[in-house]
Amino acid sequence: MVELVLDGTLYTEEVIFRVCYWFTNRCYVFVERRGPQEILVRLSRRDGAVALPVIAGEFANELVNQRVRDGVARETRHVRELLVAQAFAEATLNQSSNASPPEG
Amino acid sequence: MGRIATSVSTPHDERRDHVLLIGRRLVGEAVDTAGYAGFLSPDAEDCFGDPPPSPGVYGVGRLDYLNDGDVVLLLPSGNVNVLYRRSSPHNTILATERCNSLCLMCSQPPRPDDDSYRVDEILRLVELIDPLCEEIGLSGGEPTLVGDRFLTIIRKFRDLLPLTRLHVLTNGRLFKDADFAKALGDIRHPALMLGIPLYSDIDYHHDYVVQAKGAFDETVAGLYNLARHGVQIEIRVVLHAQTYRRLPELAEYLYWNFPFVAHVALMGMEMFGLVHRNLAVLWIDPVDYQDELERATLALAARGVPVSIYNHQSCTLPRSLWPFGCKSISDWKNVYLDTCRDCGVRESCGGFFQSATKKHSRAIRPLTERPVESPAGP
Amino acid sequence: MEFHEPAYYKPQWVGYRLLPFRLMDFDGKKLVVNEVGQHLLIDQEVLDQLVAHRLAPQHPVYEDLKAQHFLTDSDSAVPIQLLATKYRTKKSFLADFTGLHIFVVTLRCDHSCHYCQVSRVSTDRSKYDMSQATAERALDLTFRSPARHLKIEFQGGEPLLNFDLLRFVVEGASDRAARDSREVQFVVATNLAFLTDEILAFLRDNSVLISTSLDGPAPVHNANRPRPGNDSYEITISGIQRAREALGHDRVAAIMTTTRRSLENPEAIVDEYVTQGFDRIFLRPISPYGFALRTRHKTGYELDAFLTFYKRALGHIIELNRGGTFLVEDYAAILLTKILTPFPTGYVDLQSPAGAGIGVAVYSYDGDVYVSDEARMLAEMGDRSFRLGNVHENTYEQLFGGQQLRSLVADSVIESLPGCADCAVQTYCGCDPLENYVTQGSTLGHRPTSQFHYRNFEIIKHLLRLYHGPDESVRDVFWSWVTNRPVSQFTPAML
Repeated sequence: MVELVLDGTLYTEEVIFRVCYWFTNRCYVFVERRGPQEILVRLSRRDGAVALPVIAGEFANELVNQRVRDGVARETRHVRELLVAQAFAEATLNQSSNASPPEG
Repeated sequence: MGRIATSVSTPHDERRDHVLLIGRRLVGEAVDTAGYAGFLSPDAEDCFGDPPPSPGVYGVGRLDYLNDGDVVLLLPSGNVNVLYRRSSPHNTILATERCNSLCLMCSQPPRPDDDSYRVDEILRLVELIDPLCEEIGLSGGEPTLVGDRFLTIIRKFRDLLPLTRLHVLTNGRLFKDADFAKALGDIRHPALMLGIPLYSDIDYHHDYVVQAKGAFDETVAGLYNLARHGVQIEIRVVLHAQTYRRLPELAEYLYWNFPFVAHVALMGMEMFGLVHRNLAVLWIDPVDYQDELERATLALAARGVPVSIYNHQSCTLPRSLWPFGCKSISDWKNVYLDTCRDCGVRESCGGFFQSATKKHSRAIRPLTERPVESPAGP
Repeated sequence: MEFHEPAYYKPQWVGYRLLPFRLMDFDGKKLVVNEVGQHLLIDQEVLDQLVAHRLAPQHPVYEDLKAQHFLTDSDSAVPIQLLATKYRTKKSFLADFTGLHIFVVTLRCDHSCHYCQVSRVSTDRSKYDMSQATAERALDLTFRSPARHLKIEFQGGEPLLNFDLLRFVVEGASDRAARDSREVQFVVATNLAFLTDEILAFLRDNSVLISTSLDGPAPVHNANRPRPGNDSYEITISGIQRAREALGHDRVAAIMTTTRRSLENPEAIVDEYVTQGFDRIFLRPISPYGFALRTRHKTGYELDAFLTFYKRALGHIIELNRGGTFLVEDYAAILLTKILTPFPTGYVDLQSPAGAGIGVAVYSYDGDVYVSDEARMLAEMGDRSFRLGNVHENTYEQLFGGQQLRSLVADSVIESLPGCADCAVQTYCGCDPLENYVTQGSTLGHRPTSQFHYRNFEIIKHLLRLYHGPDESVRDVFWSWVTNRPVSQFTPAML
């Protein structure tokens, strides 16, 4: 069993849970709120050969990655919605796609 | 204006389209000169009577390069402009000398005067060009600056010369107006290709080369609109110090964003026009950009985009690129240097522009290999 | 005439905005992929600076990020416009809606393939044949699809055992196609055991393509595909030859199914395809449906073993290509089209939303309509959850516009699935809600334990590694697969 105490000012619940999700195949994951800015994640080995300290290290790195993902997603959400809307709006005007592969 | 006729047997109802080219050999014969649009003779005297028929230009000296079917314009000044040469595969028509860009390497420096008379000439010229003409170029300046009359020209080509491939050189900027692009697409010319330059995948690099702020955005918007309306596009890139660095990245940019382009032309720079003024920022020996050129060309080829390299001599290209090189210099501009005399690949090499005698690659040297046969084919 | 310096054309730099992209660790670097699948490998520090808005315009990677639409530093609408166009291109398969229509003309078959997902019914029970009335209705539904190019595929059992009905469908479809000025292509998936000259002549005259199973050299093939006489391989080979003579060499294709027995022999299987004159091979994993589940002890294998097999086979195929033999691995070609090009693929099993029901529809012999072949297998095993209805009982709108299909589609939009929603290789991957349902109990599935996820994730990473490796010739081979022509044709013939 390995315990990680996470700072709620650095990682939102959403970020934490998205990371936890990816470890549910290798570990049993227990999540507990300790305080207004503190979340505890417990990982216990489920099966497989990977040692818990390694898993904990991967978890910590994924938290960082996920936080970056979250930041980028939030920052670009509006643009993303815009471009998808524009893509489908113009689809009706341009049914015959001009972009066809060089070979059939 | 009229087609050259070298014999006097032109039917009367066609004479208004013809300029009779006459010479001393016809002296003494009675010649019916009625109905011709004009007359042309190398000789000053003995030209069908006294006074010689009009409008005519006489005593111009040698005219043996003119043949039946060529189209000439006789000017009051006595000048004779050859507008179209039937035997040449490379005829280009100038739509206007005005331009909305000012490329650093422009080979046809723009002039701001109103030269809309050219459009009238072109519309008349289209009536005189041989309908079996395979290809005609339309260039400038920037041809689309003549506005709706540009569409009129294209329509006339469609109607009178439907078998002729029409290659229009344009910066594409005015096609940012989707209606203009649609109007062009709606003409449905059967063999229209727009040759549009794009010099970088980065807006400010392109804008610098064409010396116009916002040009990149306008051209890209134009490419997009033209594609939507079914107009065939060729991308042209002039290779020099300001365009070679991101050439492989440009290839990738074209593939991802404009995968529909019919052809990419990578062109050696001609020592002409404004190039001399900007030589310091433009000149790079072609052998020094071989790596970028090779990567860009092979990348496009792998992706199935037709690509050609123009205006490069075989000795300045890596061997892998020889099959992409074309004999693209207009026949009347093409020369070779003395050092080329013993070269084994002269036949397939593109040769030089006349202007290259002033400045050219340090790598020009005869190659002792025999010309390459077709590589292992399909 | 005045010329300006470069700085004149560079607007005052006031920073940049990020454009949508996803990221993950990749061999010591960071893989970043934008909304349409353009990707770059960058260093950790570059990523850190990028997201903190501290990346300087002079940085060597800045212009690459800008040109490939990871960031924008001008007010121009052009980057968004280009991204929207590319996005539309990638999703353009949706406009065609259902393009592939599978007609299960009979359940009768002479083989007992271990991985078969169909009832093993012997050859003389004609109540398992599709009737003309059913076929007529199925054709009506097929031609309601807006797809410009329709593909009708005949499956079974062994479809040639009900050749009369096959002929009926081909003729009916051709009539309708001519009337509507549409194109329709025909394929028959057959084991070639029932070819006659009459059948071959018909297939030839109606441009019907043949698709047959070739699992490998005789020992592998026969072990996978038992039939009385145990001569499936011999029948297949002579059938291929006969069919090619009648229809043309390129009108006969082969597909391969991987089983435990195949796993030890990747090179032999590939070589068999070359020997038999095929220029394509599709390295498919065994699907976890139907009888395959029941006979798992014969066909079951660990996913890692399959991946090892795949990589070995792929390596061998690449070597053959480098040596001048043009042989395309279809699965890689599909993934590479997504990774390297702006184009969509028509492969229904790797799409978002998933192709089940919207890209493909299956009309079973009894008129039942299913969202995919797998859905039909499930029904054979007693679970009719993915049966849309019946051609005799339901209208087109009920079948293809009903709530059942809509909620299935809603569950198969990768952009919103747990685990997939922020995955870096999302644009290269897809969804298979039926595989999720069968292996994990729900159409949404559980990504960390999902075979579909693991398999595709590993193969995608493997392809990326190969592409970005030191070997230029591997990139050329990949491009030859994507553009479907040999590397030797990249260069034009010298004039």
